[in-house]
Amino acid sequence: MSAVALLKATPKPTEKNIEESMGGNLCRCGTYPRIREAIKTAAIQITKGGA
Amino acid sequence: MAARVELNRRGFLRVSFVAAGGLFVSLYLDPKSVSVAQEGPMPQAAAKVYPPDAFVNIRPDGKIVIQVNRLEFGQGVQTSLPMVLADEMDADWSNVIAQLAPAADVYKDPLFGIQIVGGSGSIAHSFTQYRELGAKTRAMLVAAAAERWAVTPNQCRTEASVVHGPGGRSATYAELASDAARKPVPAKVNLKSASEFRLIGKRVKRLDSGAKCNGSLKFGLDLDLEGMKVAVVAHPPVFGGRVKSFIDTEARRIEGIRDVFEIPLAKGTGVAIVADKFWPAKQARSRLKIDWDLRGVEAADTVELWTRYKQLAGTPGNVAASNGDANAIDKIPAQKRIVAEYEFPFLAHTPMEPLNTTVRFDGDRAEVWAGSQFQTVDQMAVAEVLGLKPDQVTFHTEMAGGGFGRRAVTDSHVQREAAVIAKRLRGTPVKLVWTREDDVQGGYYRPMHFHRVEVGIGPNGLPLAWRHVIVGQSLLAGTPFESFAIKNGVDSTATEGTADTHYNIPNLHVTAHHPRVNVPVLWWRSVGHTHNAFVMETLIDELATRARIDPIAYRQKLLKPDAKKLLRTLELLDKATASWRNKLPKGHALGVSCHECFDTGVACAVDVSIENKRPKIHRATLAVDCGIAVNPLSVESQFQAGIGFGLTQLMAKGAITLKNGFVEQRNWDGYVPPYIVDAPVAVDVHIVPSTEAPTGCGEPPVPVISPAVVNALSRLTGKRYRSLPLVTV
Repeated sequence: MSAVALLKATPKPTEKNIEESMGGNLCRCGTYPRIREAIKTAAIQITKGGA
Repeated sequence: MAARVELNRRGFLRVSFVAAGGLFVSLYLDPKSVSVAQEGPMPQAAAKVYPPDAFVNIRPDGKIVIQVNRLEFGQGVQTSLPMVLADEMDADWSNVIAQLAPAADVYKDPLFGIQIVGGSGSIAHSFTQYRELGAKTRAMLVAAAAERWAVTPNQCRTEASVVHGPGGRSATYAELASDAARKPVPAKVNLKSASEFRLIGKRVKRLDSGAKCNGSLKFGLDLDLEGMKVAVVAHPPVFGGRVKSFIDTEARRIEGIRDVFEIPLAKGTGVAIVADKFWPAKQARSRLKIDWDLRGVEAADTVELWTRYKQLAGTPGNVAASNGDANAIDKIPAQKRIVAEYEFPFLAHTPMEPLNTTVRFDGDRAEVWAGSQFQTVDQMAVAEVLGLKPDQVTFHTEMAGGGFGRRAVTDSHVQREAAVIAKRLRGTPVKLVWTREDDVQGGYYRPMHFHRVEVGIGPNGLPLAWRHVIVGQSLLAGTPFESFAIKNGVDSTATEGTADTHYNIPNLHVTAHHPRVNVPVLWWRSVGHTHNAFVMETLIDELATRARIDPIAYRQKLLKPDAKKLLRTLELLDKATASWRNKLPKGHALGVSCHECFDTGVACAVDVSIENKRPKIHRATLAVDCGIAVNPLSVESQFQAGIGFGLTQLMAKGAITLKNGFVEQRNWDGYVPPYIVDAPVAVDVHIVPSTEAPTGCGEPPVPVISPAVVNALSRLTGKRYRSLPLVTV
């Protein structure tokens, strides 16, 4: 939900944007680098898709 | 010959050696009936038997169901072990379904002899087992096809669940399964050479990611059975406290409360509340008025413990390692000596999915549903509480949301509590939930440790003498594993990573004290390596800095020539970081570490700056030697996330503390795990190409990250960081 909100407001988020938007989400597994990658991948796909 | 550890009903370990045995098979036999049959008529001392059908079921629709003899709790074993079996079987991967096996003899770890996820052993110990199972199943399918076509097996080849024979003939595994089931299980099979692997070594996506992403996957906590009740327990505020009396009038006023009663705990007693749903149970618990009897209960206090530990560290303990001259350090001049004292706090595991277990007791049978890392032990514990034999307890392995060691508890305290409650509610399934607060305050922590190290530096800048005292509670004293891990008064889980260091230190003297403290302790992902790697890798780095030698080169120089895995990872790390290591922006510094544990070598380099008085990790590069990487995608995930978990140690509020016996933290507000801002922005994982047997990847990521980060901080600030948590930079 945080990621969707971020991408709606900021289609091309910077690392800092991602950090700020996802700052309150706890992943106990520690997959944060993957979460960043997923958001960046989604951003590219959304932009490409012309949405 | 395989080492086999038998945990008998009194809970003691005996080690026996048995030859790997023959197999029997019928491919459609129900796995459960096979395991029951084994526990019944088969003699106790029988050789280990792995009926392939207990692991593989070829369904008429072509789906191949593979049983996983481990708990899946995020590490990806539910994908990797089926890959191993399916590869040797030449099964069509797109039709493979993985299931978590229930507790049964056939699913015990071939090396440990109990059903367990631990010691990073899932792939390491079951790789050959699953390959053989796959190869034997394939051989039986080929034999059935060969007979059908009156050809020899070696005229047939297999691919994607189809046997192809001469003259263009072919048959699917599903078509052949019932004939194959009547074939004898081959005693020996040829396994594939590495070049023949179709799945092993490939980046295969995990089988459960879809269900995890859309939320449809069910964890143990999601279990909802007909007529099920939910229980919580009020535990004593100090470990070992007992209920003197309690008033439940207010608690019972809440709608949906079914029962309130006192129960025995692993230590002391508590009050159980059973309700229709979780929330009423939790609300009722807060309304209970309990008068606790804390007489004779030691009130542990971490401030006092540090004083006591520091004093103990000034005296030699029981000898864990003694190479060369124990007093060599005394002959080295003071200016060539480093004296370092380290503090490591209690740490809680706090997996995302709260601890839980569901039990239904039916008088002569019981059924258990638990995300357990320790099925054999937990099944026995439930059986003991209910007065049953283990084989009267059906034990389902539920998907779990993390664990990090917390779901492998030698006293099975969660399962025992659940069984005690279920016994009273005979016939009704009861789910016991330990809330996060119960977990944070409930003990079973990584023990706190104090290290005192004196290092004497030789003329070449390398350590010549090393005297090291480790103080910390024993994990295994008083458990069934005591005789296994405690030698000479030293619990090897406290000294691992130091006493057996791969560095070539001519005069190495390591001793340990294990004070008894009234705080339950437990292994925390990578166990003793969590603190030992930190001490070793920060001191080695300090020595490298002092000697003005590159931190990678210094380690390469100091490692023993037989530390092949670490040397290979350092070589790879050197290459992988060449593009950035010596070109960091102003205000950034490099931090390096390396550590081998559970037979996996890891080297780590980080790019760190200081932001808001905290370390900011811009990048982490890891080099890993884990033998054959069965699923490189899974190995990469383990390392990316495992270093995130390891950073728990560096969090400003990454400590459990006790005052007068009371735990001072309650939840993630007081015991704060890493958030995205604390984790590396990017992690690249490089795997050493290998044909050696695969080794574990669950725990080895954890120890390297914290020392690498503080080594970078030391370069930035000139300070040394020896006390965790990292409160100030």
